[in-house]
Amino acid sequence: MDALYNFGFHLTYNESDAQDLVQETFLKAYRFIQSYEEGTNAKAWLFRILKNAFINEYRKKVRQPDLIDYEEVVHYQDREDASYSGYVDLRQEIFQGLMGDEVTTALNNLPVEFRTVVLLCDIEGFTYEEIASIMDIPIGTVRSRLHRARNMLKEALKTYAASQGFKENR
Amino acid sequence: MSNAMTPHDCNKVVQKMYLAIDGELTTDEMKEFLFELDRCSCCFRSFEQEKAFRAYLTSKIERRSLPDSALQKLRDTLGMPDLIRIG
Repeated sequence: MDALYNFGFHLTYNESDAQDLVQETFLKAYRFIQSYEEGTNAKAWLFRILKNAFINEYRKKVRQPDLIDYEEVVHYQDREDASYSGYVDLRQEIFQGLMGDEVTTALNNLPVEFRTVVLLCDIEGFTYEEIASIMDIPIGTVRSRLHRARNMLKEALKTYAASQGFKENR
Repeated sequence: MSNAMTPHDCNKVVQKMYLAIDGELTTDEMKEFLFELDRCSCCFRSFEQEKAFRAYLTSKIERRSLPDSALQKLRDTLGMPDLIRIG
């Protein structure tokens, strides 16, 4: 449940909302336990419930005047031809000494669709197939969002590193 | 399957890098990937950098735990006083 709470917090940036999401998730899981297929990944099932609760309940409460435009951008970014923007060459030394807060900030600045796949993959260790199931998106989209999200993170952290006087060693 | 006669393509290796680190390659695909890494020091270095970045990212992203008060509220709401903290 800590993992669920952490996921909820990174979705909402709000402790109280994240707690509500966890509670909603457990209530729904309890109520709809018959929809859980025995032998499947229970953790992924709970994450899927939380993600749906976030979309259905939390987003209704939040003003999102740019939602339509934003979705259009995401769909564009998910296109196969937009998914490969090239490997961002980054020296490992650049990251040494960066503060963790900056990583969290960079992550939280990603659009939610991109932030989510990074959290599910890199923090929770879900497979692409499980992430696709949790997010209700094709595996190819998981792959392209991960690729793009990581490149966005690298770019964000490179800028920070440069601002702090870190130099890229080539 | 690649062999020493097959031209090395850095772009293809880079495209498989995330899949390799994420454990999404099959055993045969992983063998082929490692074979290609051995053929190119630039790809090998990129792979090591990507692994380092991933390890750094994973270690630095903030993790939060459900507060005890929220856990107690959950116990009360579900009517499960013995509900324990998991994962």
